[in-house]
Amino acid sequence: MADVAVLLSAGRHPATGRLRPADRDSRALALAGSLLAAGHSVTAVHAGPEDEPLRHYGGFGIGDLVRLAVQEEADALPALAGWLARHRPALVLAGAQAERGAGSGLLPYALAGSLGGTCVPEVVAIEDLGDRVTLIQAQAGGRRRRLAATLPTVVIAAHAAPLPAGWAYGRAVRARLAVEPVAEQVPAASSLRAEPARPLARPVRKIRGGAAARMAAATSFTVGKGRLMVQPTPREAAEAIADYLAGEGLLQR
Amino acid sequence: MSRVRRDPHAERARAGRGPSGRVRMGVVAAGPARPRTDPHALRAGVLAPSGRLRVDPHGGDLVQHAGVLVEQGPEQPILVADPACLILAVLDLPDGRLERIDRGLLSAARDLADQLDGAVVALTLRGRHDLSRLGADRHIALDLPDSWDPDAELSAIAAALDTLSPRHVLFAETPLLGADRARRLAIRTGLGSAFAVHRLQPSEIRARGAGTDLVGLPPPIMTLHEVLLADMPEPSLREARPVELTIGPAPAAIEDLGEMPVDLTGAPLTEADMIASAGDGVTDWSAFHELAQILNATVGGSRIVCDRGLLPRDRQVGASGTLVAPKAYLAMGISGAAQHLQGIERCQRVVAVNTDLHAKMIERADLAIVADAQAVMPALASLLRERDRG
Repeated sequence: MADVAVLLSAGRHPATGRLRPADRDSRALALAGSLLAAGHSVTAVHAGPEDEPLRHYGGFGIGDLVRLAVQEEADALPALAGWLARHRPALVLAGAQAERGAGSGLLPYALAGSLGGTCVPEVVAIEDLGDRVTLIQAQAGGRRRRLAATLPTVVIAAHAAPLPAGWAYGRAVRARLAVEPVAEQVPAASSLRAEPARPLARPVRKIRGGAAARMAAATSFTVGKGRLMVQPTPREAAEAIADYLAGEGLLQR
Repeated sequence: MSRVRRDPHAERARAGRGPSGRVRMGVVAAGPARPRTDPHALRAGVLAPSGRLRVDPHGGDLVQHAGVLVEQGPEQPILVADPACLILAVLDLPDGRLERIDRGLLSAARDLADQLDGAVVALTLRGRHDLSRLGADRHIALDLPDSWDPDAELSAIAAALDTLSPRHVLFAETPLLGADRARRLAIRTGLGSAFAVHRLQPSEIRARGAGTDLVGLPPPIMTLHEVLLADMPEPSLREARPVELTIGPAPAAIEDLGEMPVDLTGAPLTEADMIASAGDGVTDWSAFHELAQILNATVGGSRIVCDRGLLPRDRQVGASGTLVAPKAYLAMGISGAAQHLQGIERCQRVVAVNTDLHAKMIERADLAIVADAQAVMPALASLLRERDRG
């Protein structure tokens, strides 16, 4: 039976800004829950200054809880990489990006690099964990793909992965955390400075070619080439639709 | 007639006289504002740049300035021979198709390159695409296998970086495609990176963080937020010169075991790739659902069928239902109310079957068929079944 680590960060409610279990990290925890049920050992790791975020996850009752005592402004990556290098888990589960701070989504890839393994994003289920891990990955448009990866692997939970169930307040309060000190702490190095988020600009389609082009764009309605068939036989119509979809590469079979 | 008619001749005669009525020396009567032209002189032939004699009532101005009269040779591509820098755009190409997001990425790369006096290098990992009218100066066309192999893709992108050393590499922030490739590249090369950039200027960028914006100079690796990817490149002809690339071997850590059969007919409408949608013109519901099953298309409907309870409310497409953005939208018996057309504004390809030639949906569609949906749906289903077997 393999060792599995799941990385949990402090979440932030998008509307109120309050502390919550991070959405994608919770989904990673649900994947860890399925592995725990299959008999693997799961350790939940959090790098941060306080117990409270990890206690929230403790309410799900999945695995041992370890907190790496990293200060608020320090970079979590070296602490997590050091812990993973010491414990060498076969599988690391993580969310896609943090809900506080830079939120670049680079950490799982960096950890995969430091472990010498690979990283698989958008995972909805873990089917089998043995010599290698068999995963199901969510593609665009609701499609699914099966993958096999060599160990160690860092798995990023997909948005379509299930949420964990069975949260209990008492379990969260009684959760026992192991706190590990972190020796050297450096702030995250970045050439970019953080500012309060500005609203996103509206996506615009610039119309080039002067006033005539703008007028045409404002008044014309049809975007496509607009092939029109009037009263074809059902067979002709069906062939036209099938050829059109096949020509656009949308009939996958 | 209440107003006295003006007599310009009398006015001119009066202007040259003093108050006593005598002609005054030194007071010049105002002449006509515009000198008269001789229309016959101007109608004479003017030699056009093509060498032909053209009649030009504007004395040669029309022939000189109107492009229609000047005969043009074949269009010459715009060349960027000595660019100050290179902008590498790695296109997403989901399933090898050139989608709107790829055009948006090329357009953003073109804008950035124009501001930096640079050239755009487009990198397509699979498929054959003509990018000469999409703003690409150089084109690296690779043909990687269809299976998902991020390590092979990464080694190709890294080889392009080594060969060309572009100033910026642009990706689209799409999960599994641009977002994944950019992060792998950032870790492998150790170069500076910014993800989900939503304002892009050569002097400053803004990237979306978690509740914050990250602001600074543009780093080498960037992924662009979808708000920057709505534009289309100017359709002027560019060189799109092919660039050869030698790719090193990549470790095969991930094996693609193939796509799993998934029933998508009940998938969420917002993330559907293909939607088969029914309107009031559909009466044969079993044929409609059978067609959706064979196409493996997500089922949608107009407001009226959801109001009648023929489809559940979460299947409604339109302003009061879901705003959808599939790659293809099949509208069966939908006339196209304004609210429905709002809902499918971002659809890329629309196929409509409707009995009314003058329906708005027929006008909107890329392939419009004026026929009864009850006849077309079973015919299409049986045709697809035949093609599956054959």
